[in-house]
Parts: sequence; C-alpha cells; structure tokens
Amino acid sequence: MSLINEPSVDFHLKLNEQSFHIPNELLKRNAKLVNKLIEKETKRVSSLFEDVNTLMAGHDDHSAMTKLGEIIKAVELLERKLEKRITVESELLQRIEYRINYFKELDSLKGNEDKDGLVEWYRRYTNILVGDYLTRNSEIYENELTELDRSAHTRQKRKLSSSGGSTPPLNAGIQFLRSQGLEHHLDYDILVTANRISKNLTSNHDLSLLVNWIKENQAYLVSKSSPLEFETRLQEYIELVKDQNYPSAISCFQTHLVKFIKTNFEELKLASGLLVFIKSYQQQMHTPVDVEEKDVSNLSSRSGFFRYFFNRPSLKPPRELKQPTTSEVRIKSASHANFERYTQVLSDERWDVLKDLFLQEYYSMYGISQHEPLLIYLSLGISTLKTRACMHEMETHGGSNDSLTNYLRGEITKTNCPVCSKEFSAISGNLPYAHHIQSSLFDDPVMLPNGNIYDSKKLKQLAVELRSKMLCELQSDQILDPIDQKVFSEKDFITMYPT
Amino acid sequence: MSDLLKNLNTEFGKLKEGASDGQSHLRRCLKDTHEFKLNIKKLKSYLTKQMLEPGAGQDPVDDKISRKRQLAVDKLNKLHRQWDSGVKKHGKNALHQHTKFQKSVLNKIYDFDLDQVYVNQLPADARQHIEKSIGVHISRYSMSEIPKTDPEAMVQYLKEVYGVDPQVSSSYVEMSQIVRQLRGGNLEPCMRWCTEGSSLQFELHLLNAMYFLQAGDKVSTYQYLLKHIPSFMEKTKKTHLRHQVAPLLAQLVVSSEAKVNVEDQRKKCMKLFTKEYCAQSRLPFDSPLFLVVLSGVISFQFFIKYRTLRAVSHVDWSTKNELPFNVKLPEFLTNFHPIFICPVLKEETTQENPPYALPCHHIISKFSLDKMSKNGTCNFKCPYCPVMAARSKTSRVNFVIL
Ligand SMILES: [Zn+2]
Ligand SMILES: [Zn+2]
Repeated sequence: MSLINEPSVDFHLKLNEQSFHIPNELLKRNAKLVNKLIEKETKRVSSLFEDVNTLMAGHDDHSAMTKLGEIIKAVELLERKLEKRITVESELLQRIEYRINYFKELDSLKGNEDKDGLVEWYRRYTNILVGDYLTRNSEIYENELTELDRSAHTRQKRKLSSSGGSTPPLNAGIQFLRSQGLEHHLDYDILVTANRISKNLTSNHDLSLLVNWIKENQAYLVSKSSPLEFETRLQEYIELVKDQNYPSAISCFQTHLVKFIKTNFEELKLASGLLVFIKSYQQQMHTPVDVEEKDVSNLSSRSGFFRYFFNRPSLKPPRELKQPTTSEVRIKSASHANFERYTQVLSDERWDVLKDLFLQEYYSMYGISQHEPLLIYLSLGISTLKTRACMHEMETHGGSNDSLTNYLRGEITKTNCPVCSKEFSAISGNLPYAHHIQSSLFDDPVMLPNGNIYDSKKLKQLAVELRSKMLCELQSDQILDPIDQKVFSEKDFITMYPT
Repeated sequence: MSDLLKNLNTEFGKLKEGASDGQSHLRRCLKDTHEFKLNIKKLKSYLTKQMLEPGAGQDPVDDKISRKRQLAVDKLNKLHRQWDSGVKKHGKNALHQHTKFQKSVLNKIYDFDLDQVYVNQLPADARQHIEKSIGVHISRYSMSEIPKTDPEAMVQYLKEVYGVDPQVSSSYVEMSQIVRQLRGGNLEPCMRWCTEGSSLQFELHLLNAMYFLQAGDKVSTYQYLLKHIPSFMEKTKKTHLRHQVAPLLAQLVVSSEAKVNVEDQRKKCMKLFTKEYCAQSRLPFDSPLFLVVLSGVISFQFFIKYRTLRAVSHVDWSTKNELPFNVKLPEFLTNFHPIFICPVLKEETTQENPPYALPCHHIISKFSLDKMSKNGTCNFKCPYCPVMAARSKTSRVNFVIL
C-alpha cells in the first residue's frame, strides 16, 4: 500500500539495514568479550583449584582455605563483570526492539491508509537523520555551552575538570534526539566515538585516542591490511620532528615505523630524510654552509639511509627483493626535488587525510555508510524536486503602490519550493534536474496579452481579494497581472490548450 | 505485515523472549556463576568448621575425618568442573545466537549500501547551508520542546545548542509557545490568537468541551457548549457545524463514561493552528529540509533500481544534467513550479527553449518551432490541429502558478 508513492516497508528495512546491523554487531562484540572473560577467569580459577587440591593433599588446610577465599573473590568479580555485560546486552536488545516497533508503526499506518500519520512518521524519520548529522559533526562539549554567559575563563576551568569524567559530554545530536524521544533510534555512542577521535585529530592535533583505538582493533585493521596504523605512526613521528624532539622521533621510528619497511619503503625514506631536511634547514639559518648535503644523497638507497640514521644495516638486504618495485624506480629518479614533498609531509592537511582514513575504517567496521545519510537523502531529494524554473526568481515589476507590491511578492508570486529556499538554492546548482514525462500545469489556463498564462479562476479570485483588501482599484470584470501589475479585462483572456 | 519485517519480528522475538525470563545465555552464565559462588562458600565454611573440630588435623590417618574431607574436596572439584563447562557453553551459545541472527535476518535485509546512490555529491561548502536548513527545521518543529519558555531564552538556547540563527528562530517563538500550551492542555493563548469565527476557534471550543467531559463534569460541558456554540454558529452562519457537536451532546446524555478522543482533537487543533500561523506569517508549513528528505526517501528506490541498470549498461548518470528516470511525487511535493513538456520534442521547456503559443492556442517549444518553420522561412501545420501557422504569428508565453 502506497499513500504518497513512498516505498514499501521492506524497502525501508533495507534502507535502514544499518540500524539493525550495528546493534547486532555490538551484541556480538559483547558476547565475544564475555567469552574472553570466561576463558580468562576459568583458567585462573582452574589453577587456583589445582592449588587447593595440592594444599589439601599436603594437609596445609589453612592455606587451602585462603586459596578458597581467593576463588570466591575471583568468582565474585566475574559475577559483577557479567552483570555489566548483561546490562549492555539488554540495552542493545532494547534498541533493536524500538526500531522494529518503529517500522511496525509504518506498516500499520500504511495499512490504515493514515496519510497524516505517515507524514508525521516521516518527520520523525527526518529528525533521526538530523540527529545523525549533528551527532557526527557537532562539538563534543556542547553541554558546557548552556552556561555560556559566564566568562571564558571559568568555562575553561570547568571544561578541564569535567574531562575528568564526572559529567559525560553531550553533543547537540544526542541532545536533539533526546528532546525528540528518538535516542534509541540512533547508535549515537558509535558516532560520538568517531566524532571524538576525529575532532581530537583535526582540532587538537592529538593522536592518543586514535592510537588507543588502533590498539583495540588491531586484528580488524591487519585483516584488511589497512594503512591506518602506518599513517598514524608516521604522523606521530612527523610531529616529534616538528617539535625538534629528535631522540623521541628516532625512537618512534624504530619502535613503530621500521616494521613497515616492506610495505612503505618510499614513505619511510621520505620520513627519515625529513629529519635531515629540518636539521640542515635549521643549520642553514645559523651557518651558510650546508655540511650535511653530501650525506643526504646517500639516503636514496635503502641501506644508505638505514646506516645513516640508525647506524645499522637495513632489515632485509636488497637482493632479497624479487624485482625492483615501482617505488624503488621512482626513488632513483627522484633527486633533490624533495623540498616540496617534505613541506607536504609537514603540512597540517595531513591531519584531515588521517581523519578521513580513520573514519573510513571506522565506518566500514560497523557497516555504516561513509557519507552522512542526511547528505545522501538531500542529494537525491533535491534532484527529484529540482525543476527548470528553480532558482530563477520570477521577475516581478513593482509599481508605485508599495503595499500592493509587498502583498503580491509575499503571498502570490513567492514560491514555497524547497529547492528555491535560501538554504537549498545555494547548494542545488550542480545537481541534475528531475526528469518529467508529463506537463504539470493547472486547470483553465488563460493567456493574457502580455504572454503570461494563469489559472483563470485563481486570477479572478486574486482580483476579488485585491478589491476587498483595497490594494488595487479594479472594475468588476478587470483582473490584475501579479507579475507586471498591469490591469486587463476578462475579455482579454485567451483560453489555451497546452497538451 | 511485510515479509522481511515479519521475519525480523519473529526472530527477534526469540532473542528477546530468552532475555526477558532470565533464560538468555548470558543470564544463565551469571546464574551458574552465582550458584557456584554460593556452593563454594558453603563448602568452605563446612571445611573450616571441620578443621576447628577437636582432633582435626592431628591424626592425618583418622579415617572418618579424612573421608569427610575427601568427600568435600571431591564435591568442590565436581562443582568446579560443572561450572567450568557450563559457563563456557553458555558463552559460546550467546555468540552463536547473534551470528545466527545476522545470517537468518540481517543478511536478508542487506541489499545495497547507501553510498552507492550518492553519485551527485553535494559541494564541499554545502555544510554551512545544510546547517542553516537544520536550524529552520528545528525552529519549525521542535522549539516547543526545548527546556526554555521565555522568548529570549528560547532563541538563545537554540543558538547555543544548535547554532540556529536568531533571526530564523525568533519568527517561530510565538507559535511554539502557543503549541506548548496547547499540548499541556491550556487553550487560552491559542483562543486569544485565533480569528473570531474561524474553524480553529470552533475546534478549540469543541476541545474545551471535551476537557470538561473528560473530567466527568457533564454540567459544565453542557453549559460550555450552550454558551459558545450557538452564538458561534449564529455569527459565522456555519450551521452545518452542529453535526460535529451532536456526537458530543449524544455522549453527554447516553454514555456514562466519556469516550471522546481528546488526543485526536488536540492534534487537530495543533495542526490547524500551525497551518494558520505559518500562512499568516508567510512561513512555509513544512520545513524545506523535511520536504527534500521526504522526496529523497520516495526517490530512493528509483535510484537503486537505476544503479542496477547502470551497472549492466555502463551508462554514467553523473554526466547528465537531468535524472535518467521519472519519480512520481505526491501532490504536496509538486506544483511549486509549472512544468511544460513540449509535445513535439517530449522535453521540458527551459530558459533557452521556452514555450511559444501558436495561433490555434496550442503550445510548443522554441526549438520545435524553429525546426518546423525551418527557422521562420516557411509556414507549418500545428502538430495538434489542422491550423497552419507562421513563425511571425507565434508568441512567447510564460506559465505562472498562483
Ligand atoms: Zn524551485
Ligand atoms: Zn493547433
């Protein structure tokens, strides 16, 4: 049953597969955690039991009882941890239930042919999308803003103290969803985490949250051979170099980057060259002679740069490589034109690149679309609504009568077309137009001598209104063209036959 | 119920049922662990008691005592084994059930990724405009639900929390205040706002009477109706409205318990009011964001269908400036602009190719006109009637929707 040409319930479910996929994914994770927990604790308890048995056999009853006490404590701890997991489980199950009920509601609205109810349902649908957009994009500490009137200083203080974890940060998206009673319809925890980690990259240039996330999800990232870990550690290294913290930079290189030598040789070469680049650049500032110049050229070979920087041979001798890779060929041809590449590496844009890379991995891990669903719906919706007449404001000619002009512009010639609204006309320019196969005009089309074609009834109605509002003097058979404010007689009407 | 929804509902029911009566795998895990703990505690105190008994531990070969000890230890080990295998099994089952749910339910509703239809991406600077449209949307629908009631505080709140432009939100302040009161059961502000004799006023009177009836005060209901309705009908000459009052009166007399649907009537009043308010303040009744999203929902299936076709035929849609398919939208999402399809070219007229009227009052597009008149060099026959036309006798026309 389709009331406004809307898709079927089944299609809606497919459209919202994410909102069932994510909680189930989280349920799986929860169950996996439980399994890990059980595995760990049963092992521990088993070994404690072995101890108890040995002690009992050796008649050391007192120690055996102490061990038994330990067992009880361990089991109690497990109990508490399990309770937490069960709370998580029931919250997740509840999410799924809310969502199923939401689509059941759609099903019954369609069944009852309740058009008003359906439109209302879609308003909530839109609000969920708005909540999703806001959650992904808003600042994290929005709950601080309610006390904006206080000075920035105290706010800063509070911000610091609240980051201790006393009040959970609330962002605009969650606030909006809660005010609408829709918080169960969005997995905002997932989105807020993504937001927090990416904002920490782009606003604070801080890698710590990302590094933690990478550690937690190492298995997943490795399984799809993601470049995220390498890029993150490279960024860490670059920042240390920028800070002139060379010992830490070198240690970071050795602990975290060297293992990528096989896969990211060229970038690593660039990274180590960076150190020289910055150092020699600084020296140039002090002494005009570039002492390191001749050593830098050594860096174009793999063993060269390793020996130079870390005083040790490269991990694998070059002959172990099967064929010279394309990157190696490029290295040979690349000479001292590295300046530009170094500045690129040092550029802050890398933070955005890193953020995008992180979000890509993060979203695909949960099966979430890469783009905000709201943007996708808007792109589709604008194209479906956009006509050739959109964004061409009707050229009206105001006469000397201001109140008449205002009335006509405000009530008559103004369009409520959403694509023509201020906000959307600004972004609709490059999107395709809708495809129409049928004219969509009005009843009783009549042409005036100036070529404008109107619905004759509406034109007459307008004349009546203008007379009663005393906005315009018109005789009983006269009408006013609201576009050019010219007065015509009804006798001038020419009935048209647009097909 | 639709097939996929039915499947989802049934399979979820199974998950849920287990969880609710304490039978979920994780709950069983917990229950076993809890019982295990209690049992060890019991055994521990039993053993401790034994050790304190006179003679305990002094003679290790005392048969009776050592047998008791051994029994307790055996029991301890048995409990441990049972618990160990039990919780492991439950843990595995818990994981298994979600994997199964994935397979038997979720894989069936997975058909496409949303990203696949996002071919015509919005420009990078679109976000600021979208955020403005969100501001309009929130002001229009949600302002009556924010935790502030004072006009200035309301505007300020929306600005701080959602970044809404005060100019936008302030035009919705009065409306949201009245809606908030209406929702809370206070008709007074709306009554004051509405126009004398409007249908909104009538519906408000009805709602008020229903409140009296709901409170079980039949006398007041009757008096209220008597006081307001006849004079209303007299003033407005809308005597037909008495048909709407009749059921209410009937209920006053006949039924003892009030079964009028107050909630429906309240919703009706809120809708009528917002409609009138928006019209009077020249605000669109629905937010542009909502209308665009709704159009997006309706068109989604066409995009998905076309995506499949495109994959087969290797046509790229992003290069075209018109969608390759037609989406039928409901009436309230069309009719914003006139659409004229040239009957000859079967294409929509545009600024470059505007409509022209022939002397017979049929209309074709400029390109068709040029073609048929060989650029104005010869007369031609109207494609719809036998009348001959000359290029010089045609005139450009302009459709206007009022
Ligand atoms: Zn438009
Ligand atoms: Zn004709």
